[in-house]
Amino acid sequence: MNTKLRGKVRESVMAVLPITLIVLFISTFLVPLNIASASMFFFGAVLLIVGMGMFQLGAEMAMSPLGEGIGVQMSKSRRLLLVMLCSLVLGIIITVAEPDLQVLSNQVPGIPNPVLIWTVAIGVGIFLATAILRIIRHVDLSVLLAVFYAAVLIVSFFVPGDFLAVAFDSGGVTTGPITVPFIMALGVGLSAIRGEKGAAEDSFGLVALSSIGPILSVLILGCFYSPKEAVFGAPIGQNVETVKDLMVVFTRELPHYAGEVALSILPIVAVFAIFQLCFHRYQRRQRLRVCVGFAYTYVGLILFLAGVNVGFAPVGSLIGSGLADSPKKWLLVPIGMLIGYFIVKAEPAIQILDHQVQTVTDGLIPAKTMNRCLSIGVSVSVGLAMLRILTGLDIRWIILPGYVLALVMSRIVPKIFVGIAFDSGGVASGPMTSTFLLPLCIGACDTLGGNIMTDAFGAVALVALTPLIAIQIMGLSYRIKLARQEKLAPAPVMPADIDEIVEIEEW
Amino acid sequence: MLSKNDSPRILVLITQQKFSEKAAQMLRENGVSLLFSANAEGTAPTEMLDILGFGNTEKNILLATVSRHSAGILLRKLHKELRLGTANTGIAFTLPMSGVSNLVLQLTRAQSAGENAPERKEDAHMSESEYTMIAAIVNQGFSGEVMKAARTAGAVGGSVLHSRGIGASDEVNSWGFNLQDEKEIVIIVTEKESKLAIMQAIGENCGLKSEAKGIVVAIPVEDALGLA
Repeated sequence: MNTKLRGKVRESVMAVLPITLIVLFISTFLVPLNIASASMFFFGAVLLIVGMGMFQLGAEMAMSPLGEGIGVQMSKSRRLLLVMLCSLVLGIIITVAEPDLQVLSNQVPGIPNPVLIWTVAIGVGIFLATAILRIIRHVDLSVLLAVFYAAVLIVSFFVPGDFLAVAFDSGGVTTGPITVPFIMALGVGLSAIRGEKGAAEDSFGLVALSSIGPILSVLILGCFYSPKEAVFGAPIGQNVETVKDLMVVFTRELPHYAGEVALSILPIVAVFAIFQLCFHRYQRRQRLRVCVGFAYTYVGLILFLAGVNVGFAPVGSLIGSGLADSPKKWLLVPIGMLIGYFIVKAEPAIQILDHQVQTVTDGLIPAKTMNRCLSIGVSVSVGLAMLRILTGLDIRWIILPGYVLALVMSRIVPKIFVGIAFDSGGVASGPMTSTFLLPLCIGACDTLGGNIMTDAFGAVALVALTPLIAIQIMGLSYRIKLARQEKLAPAPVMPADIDEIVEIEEW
Repeated sequence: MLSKNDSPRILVLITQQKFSEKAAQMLRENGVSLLFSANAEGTAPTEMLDILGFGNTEKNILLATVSRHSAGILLRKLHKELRLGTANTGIAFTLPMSGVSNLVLQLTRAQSAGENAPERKEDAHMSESEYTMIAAIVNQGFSGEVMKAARTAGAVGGSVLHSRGIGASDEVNSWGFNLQDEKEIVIIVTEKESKLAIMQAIGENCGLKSEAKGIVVAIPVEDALGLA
């Protein structure tokens, strides 16, 4: 088989299989699932594997070259205002179309949907433009992060508690599977043609700043609108008895996602068309590749979303309420952590981040290490989320110290880790989190009679928080290791003539 | 002036990431201390596969400086222990140098002294190699065209390095960025007989007169592995 194809297949199987096996285990020993939900789940897992592989390949072929190209053109441009304007518009159109944002706007009560969607989109646009201005003006990322998160924390005191969790969720949610590969590639492009120190570091940090935008805008909206009861539909398990039923359920859902994904991918296709017409960057073969890439992304995302929404969401909810109902409630914590550990791998944008980190750092931070780090981070966050559901601990007690810790660390760890860490916060909380983890928490919370708005929704916010700390711990340990190595092996005394050039007779 | 026979060689390894890691490990165990690696891309065998996205594979280029003596030994070891040179594993070859920092010379000598393999009878002259390395430097996006042209002239495969071109004077834009054009370097290792034809084909299709603005050079390869 073609090596490339084999690699992609293996990657996506490895991403989806662990979480599938865990659910199989839980449903066998802890929470009995009826065969209908289980079959939906396993069929969903198959769709997930296929969709994931296609999406990854498509993003690599279409999103990355496009983002990179736009980044390169931006850094070539001499007109600052134009670049700012372009990035503002780019930020707005890719966010408006993000399917996750539509879901979020339905979940946030008390604010009219269009108001929320546009505010969040403009928030992303402004922050994307700021992030690009930062690179141009050589402003330290950690300084900007400190300033903006300080603003977020201050505003958060004026917002009702119910709103807080949703606001922090929105930061993670809006940077979804379409936005992330694009923005990440934009960063790479911006630093691609600069031959100077620090260029590699600058290719990260765009997603980080962009995800502050939505948090801040939802918080500000929260000051003006008073929240009402949360509106959410608990995912309903479908009644399937035969294979035919199963197929019918999925085929009924597919057109829905086909429309949704088309809506979110079309703006980017339009951007590609306009960009190509203006700058003629791509040769014939590249153009064809990008088009095929868009097609892969499109089909891949449809399959992925259908699989996860129809197959995974009901099971997440069932497991959550099943565990909360059992006498061993505390099992929610370890099982949540286990699920958290493996769910990151199935997040579509994560592989792209891992990969980019490995490429930009030339293997200094291997994809495997990134993955493990993120897994541990998310595992801790799901554990904390479950603990909150069991105890009703106020989310402020975790979020505030968490961000303060992350910001303090950002002053200490090597710069490149700061960008990667804050980027990964937005990347880790994607569709897998909002369609499997969230229902899991809602299910548990509902059964235990907690406040869904604050207790369950905070989960996404936590998933977006812990990677910041986990990756920075990795950066810290890397720094300590370097220092220790230097201590152990002091620079050898070099003989004076080492820099002399020895000539060799010509060939 | 150092004689050709005593001079160090550059060992180049173009292979997949996992093989590259193993090879680096093996080279380190053999006392090679100067190792450099870079990301590269393998070129697609056909245009169709490229467009469908199944063509380009990730590759890694590993560079090491080794002594003349251990170059051959290490190449054979790579072949024996990592099966390098068999189908789908990548290629390795050595390039000569015509000048070097003293440090490099001393490091390669020290490494060579630790070599426990039996000393080979020193050849009086370098054996005529059958291979050559062609490097074409073209504008961003034209590596596919280069390979297409090269294939018509008998090239089997190649690797692409993404790089930046540095002009006579650095262009600095109004923001103080050092701007360097994106370039792609296509590396093709091939038999000597097809060298001229491949270079001509690339020159004709992707030369300075074309949009690709390509220049082509060929560098002698001393010893090669994996091109059979």
